[in-house]
Amino acid sequence: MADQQDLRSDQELIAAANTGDVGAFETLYFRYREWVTSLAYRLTGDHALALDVLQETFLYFLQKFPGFVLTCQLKSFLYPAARNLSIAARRKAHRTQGDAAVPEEIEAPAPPQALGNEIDAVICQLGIEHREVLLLRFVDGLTVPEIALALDIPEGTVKSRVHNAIAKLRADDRTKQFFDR
Amino acid sequence: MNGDDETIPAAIEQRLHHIAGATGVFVPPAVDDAVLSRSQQRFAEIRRRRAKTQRVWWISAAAAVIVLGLLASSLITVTRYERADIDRSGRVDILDAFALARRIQQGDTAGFDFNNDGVVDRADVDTVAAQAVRLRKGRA
Repeated sequence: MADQQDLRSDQELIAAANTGDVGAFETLYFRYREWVTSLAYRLTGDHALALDVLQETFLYFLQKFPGFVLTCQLKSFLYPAARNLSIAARRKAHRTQGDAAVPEEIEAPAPPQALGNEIDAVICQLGIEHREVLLLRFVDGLTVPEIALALDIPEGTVKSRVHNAIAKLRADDRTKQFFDR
Repeated sequence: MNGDDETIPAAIEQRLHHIAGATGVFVPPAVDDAVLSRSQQRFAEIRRRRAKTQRVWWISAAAAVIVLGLLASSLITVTRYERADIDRSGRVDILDAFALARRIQQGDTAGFDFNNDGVVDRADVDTVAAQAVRLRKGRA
C-alpha cells in the first residue's frame, strides 16, 4: 500500500516497482496525481476530461513495468504523455460535440484568471507556448534540458521562449514594475 | 542567453503557482480505485512471472550441477584406470601389478595408493591385480 510518508526517491520507487512492488507504484501515483491533473486541466479546460487524462496517463505509465528505466525527471516523462492524451481528449470532445471544424492544433484554453489580478491577465495573454515553458520552469522546477525533453523541442527553442516570455512580462505596463524592484 | 539562469520576480512566480494549482479539480476516490486496481493486477502478474523465472533458473542450475557431477565422476574413473596402467601399456593388466611390486621394492611409491588406506604396500598390488582380472573378465 502507498505510504504518504514514503521518502524513497523516484528512482528507488521505480526500481522497486520493477520487482513487482505495487506499493511503490501507488506512491508514485499519489506523488504526481495533482500535478498531472492540474496539467491536464490546463490543457483541456474541462474537469471530466482532466480526470480521464489522469487515468490514461498512469495506465500508460503502468504498461512500462517491468523494465522501466528513468533517465530524466519523472515529470519530463509524464508531461508528453499527459499532453498528448489531453490533445486527443479535446479533439474527441470537439468531434462528439459536433463542431463543424476541428482545428489542426487545438489551442489550450486560457487559464483561470482571478478577477482584478493584473499579473494573471498578463500571463493569460501570453501564448500557450510561452505560458507552458514558464510554468514548467518556475512552477515545476524543470531545467531547460528537461523542458526540451518534455516538449520534444530543441533546448535553444526553450531558452528563446523563456526569454521572450519574460521580456513580454517586463515590457507590459502592468507587470514591469515588479522587475524594477 | 541561458534559460536556467533567468529569473522572474517573486510576485509573478507566485501568480504562476496560483494559476498552476487553481484547477479546482477534485479527484474522486473512484478514479484512484480505477488506477490502483489495474496496478494491483499488473504487479501481481509481474510477481508471478518473476517467481516462474526464478523457479526455472533454480531447476536449470540443479540440472547443471547434476550433469557436472556425472561428468566429473566419469573423468575420475578414467583417471583411475590410467593411474593403474603402471607400465603405460595402454591397458591395465597383471603386468602392471608386477610393475607396482617392483616399484614398491625400489621405494618408489608416490601416487600408488590404489586402495586409499594411506599406505602403498602389497594390498595395493592386489588391488591392481584384481582390477586387471575384472577388466579381463569384462572383455571375455
